[in-house]
Amino acid sequence: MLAYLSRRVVLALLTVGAISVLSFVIIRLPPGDYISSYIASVSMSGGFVSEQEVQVLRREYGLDKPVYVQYLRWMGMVVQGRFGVSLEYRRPVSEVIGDRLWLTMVVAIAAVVLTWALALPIGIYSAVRQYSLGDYIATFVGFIGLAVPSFMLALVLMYLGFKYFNANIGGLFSGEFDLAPWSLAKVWDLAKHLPLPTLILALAGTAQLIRIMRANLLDELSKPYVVTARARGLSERRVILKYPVRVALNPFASTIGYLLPYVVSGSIIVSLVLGLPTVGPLLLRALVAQDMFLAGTIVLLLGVLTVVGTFLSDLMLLWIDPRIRLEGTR
Amino acid sequence: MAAADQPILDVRDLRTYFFREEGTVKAVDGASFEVFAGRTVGIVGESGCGKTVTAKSILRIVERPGRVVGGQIYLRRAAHNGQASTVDLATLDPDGAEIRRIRGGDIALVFQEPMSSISPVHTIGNQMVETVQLHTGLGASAAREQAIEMLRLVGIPKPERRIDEYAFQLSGGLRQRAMIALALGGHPRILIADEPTTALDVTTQAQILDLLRHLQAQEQMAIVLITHNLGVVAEMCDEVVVMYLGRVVERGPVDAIFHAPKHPYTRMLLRSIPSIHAQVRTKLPTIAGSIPHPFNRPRGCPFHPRCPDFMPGVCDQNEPELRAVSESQAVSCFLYGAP
Amino acid sequence: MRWRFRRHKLAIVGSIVVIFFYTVVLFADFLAYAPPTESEAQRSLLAPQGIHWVDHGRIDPYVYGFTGRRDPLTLKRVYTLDPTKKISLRIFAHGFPYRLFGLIPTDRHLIGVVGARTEDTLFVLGTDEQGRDLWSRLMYATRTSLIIGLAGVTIALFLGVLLGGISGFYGGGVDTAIQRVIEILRSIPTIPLWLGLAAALPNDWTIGQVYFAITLIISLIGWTELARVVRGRFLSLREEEFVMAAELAGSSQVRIILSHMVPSFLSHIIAATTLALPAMIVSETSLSFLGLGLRPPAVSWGVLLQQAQNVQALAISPWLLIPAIPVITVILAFNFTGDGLRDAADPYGH
Repeated sequence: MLAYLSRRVVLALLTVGAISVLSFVIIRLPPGDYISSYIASVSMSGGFVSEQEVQVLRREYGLDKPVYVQYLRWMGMVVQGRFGVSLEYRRPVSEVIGDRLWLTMVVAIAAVVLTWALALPIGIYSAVRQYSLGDYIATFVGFIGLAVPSFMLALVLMYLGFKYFNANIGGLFSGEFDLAPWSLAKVWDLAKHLPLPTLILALAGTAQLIRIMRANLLDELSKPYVVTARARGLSERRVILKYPVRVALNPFASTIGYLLPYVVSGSIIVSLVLGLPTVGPLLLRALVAQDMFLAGTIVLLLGVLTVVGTFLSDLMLLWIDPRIRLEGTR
Repeated sequence: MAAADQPILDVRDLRTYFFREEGTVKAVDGASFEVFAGRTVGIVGESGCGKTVTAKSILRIVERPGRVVGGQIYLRRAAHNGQASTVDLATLDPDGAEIRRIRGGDIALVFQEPMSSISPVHTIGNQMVETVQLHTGLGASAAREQAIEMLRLVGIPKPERRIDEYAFQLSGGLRQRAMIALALGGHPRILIADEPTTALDVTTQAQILDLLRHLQAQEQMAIVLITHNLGVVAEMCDEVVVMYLGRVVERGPVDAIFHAPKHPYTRMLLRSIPSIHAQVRTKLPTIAGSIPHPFNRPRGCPFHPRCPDFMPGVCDQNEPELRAVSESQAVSCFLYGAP
Repeated sequence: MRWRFRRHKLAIVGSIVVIFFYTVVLFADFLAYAPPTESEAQRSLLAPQGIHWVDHGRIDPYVYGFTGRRDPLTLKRVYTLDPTKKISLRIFAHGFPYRLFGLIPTDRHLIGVVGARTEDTLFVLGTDEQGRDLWSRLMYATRTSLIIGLAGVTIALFLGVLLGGISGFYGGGVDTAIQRVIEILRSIPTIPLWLGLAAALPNDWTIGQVYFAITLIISLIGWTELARVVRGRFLSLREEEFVMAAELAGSSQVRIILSHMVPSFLSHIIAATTLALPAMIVSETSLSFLGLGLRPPAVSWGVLLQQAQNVQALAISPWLLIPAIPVITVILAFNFTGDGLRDAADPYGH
């Protein structure tokens, strides 16, 4: 168990390291440095940056030092929660991101949960009633989920909603709650708006997971321990739900590690189409406007949160699979 | 108690077919035998002759597309008032409550591979307590006590610790013992052991067979031992049933089968056992040919293409019936009576 | 059994569709009848014109003419059909000049308008906001998107076979290192990252350079799965007797890999590649849809779909969503084909 845990922790740390380097590359890649872009942006809007201010900024970001020193300094600032200043908004990046980051995670996690909630029973049904009408329907819907990119699905649904119900089905809040402070009513409003984007994001993953669960379970259903469980007098329902489903759950659970990054990725584009107040549209604006500190920070935070989510799912795997839990104690 | 000379399990002309798209496989096609309390019946035959399907048919757990299509499986059960009643398992609803009470409660099954026959993600105890509770109605802690007792009975050391372990934490021999304990959870009167020792090394094999004999004496259990190992049969069984391609070709007491085999197939099976009395460097006789493909069952007696005593015009035209050749021995062969 | 046969049939249909699409790639200029960037403000957001095939009992395709004016209130252009004006169409008509396969100069097109009056125009699938013909643009977009997908998968294949092969053949520390890199790459949400990289491309790059850079970026997404397949095959093949026999016979490693191992898993590679292609195409489409992939004047499916981003525009001109149809069709076709190929390569797997 310790070996598994330490392997996971090291991998998570390495991944965070890789993400931070890539985020830094994104920040550094455009020509010119941050300070000159900052000065240009401020003076373009009629402001003025004093020479002294420039010196302070240059020293803080270490722009006169080699690249790796700049990276380390940036990391140092990030660890303290200082992400720099957005060029476009001229406010601290953390303020600009605000609620959007965790709204992104709410949408992504809701999508992962929904993916599971849909894929598990459908996958079980498809395997137990192999070649039944329901199995064919599940396979067909699976192919659709596989073939229609989530942003296209969002587009089509938006169009249908607009055309036939004359309603904007996007967004995460009704107009009156958009800027309102958090309250129970606002949370309820969020809950009412969540299902559609969640469903759109979940469809592709669900299609994949149904296939995985079906294949796993079909493998397990013919194993001797299922026959013995039956021979012990258990009801068919109990036999299937307690034994093969439980065993097939393990490889299924490990897919969550790839599901979360996938859903977070998808949420960026879907958010744009549906106009969700997540970091997606913000990231795009920042990238188009070359507001690199904002963009880099979003990439970094999204990556780190995804790694944390994946790590938590690894812990869950540890909990459900005794073979990993008892590794090395045999 | 029912009279000792009455069988507790009486299988008559059992037929289990698999309806596949390529055609129908007659996995069991007329199997008849009797099982008596406290005695052991061995079912022998080459792999693919329908031994395992017979076992599954008795418990009515044949997987689709297989189905019990004919015959009777009479089980005598002791009722509360001391009167014995008889049920025909072949007529029960395979998903019904009654057959589920019989599975594990009256008839238990032990499989060949203990590793894959126990769930890899549940503890031994979890599965045992479940079985005990299902068949005895005991509370959780009482059931656990009984499960520990059962593990002790099958000779697992430190059962109160082992009960919380997983199958992959046990050695092969202990795993098979745990598997037997698991099967005994509902105090069955009949134990069907399907190749219980095949996956074990020789020493462990002997230990497991000892254990089975010991349990049989203690619990007055009937054992149906499915095996292709004739040595195990000679050591363990009272009666022997020889199967070939889903049919019983010969049955009788173990002495009769070993010393006066009647069916050519039985004779050839026996001749293929290595003997310590045999001359060194002589070739061990084998049975010519191989088992026909299940879709291409030969016409007439299914053994005729491999039979040394094949009678053209007889064996390939008619199917022999199982008929008595002595008081206790029966054989299905035209050598002992024309069609 | 029945299902396997059905999948087999799906695979055949899938491969026919794939071949059809690559035929479109080859003949894009011929199938288009207007230059893809030719725009006309007078023809903005025109609905698809229905082609009438029969005239006076003879097969003689034509479309009706129309007149457009600007609505004074909404400032949108409104078009009315003019049933009195028939515009005749011809198969293999003359149109704008191009070079077939980049070699043969010609001006023949599959379909075209008879006569060369400027007001006689054909818009089979309608026009976009700038009044460009959607059908012709779709032909060119198909060419761009499918070629980028193919190029991307080629690079991904190269990376995947190289790194997966090294990983599987040498094992040990190299294998562990490469496997960690793959695991790290797979646990990063890729789209934001590639978006960042795409956005960081200098603005003054030529179309060609952007084309190449985008291909490179999307191929970085797809190589991990291919590497996984190649490594798995290498690992299992290393244990095979014929590889060991070749080793004992003193064959060099390169020779063992090229003449013994690669042929025996070629079919797996082909199947995995076919399954990786749709991901490439979706990546390009997504990037361009967000405005960070190919940029106009380049034409790709994503660029076309970018016009459909706005729901209001889409509600008025639903035909802007037409490019979604080939995208979905091609993804499905590649998936069916890939599934069939994988089954054929590994009949006992899955």
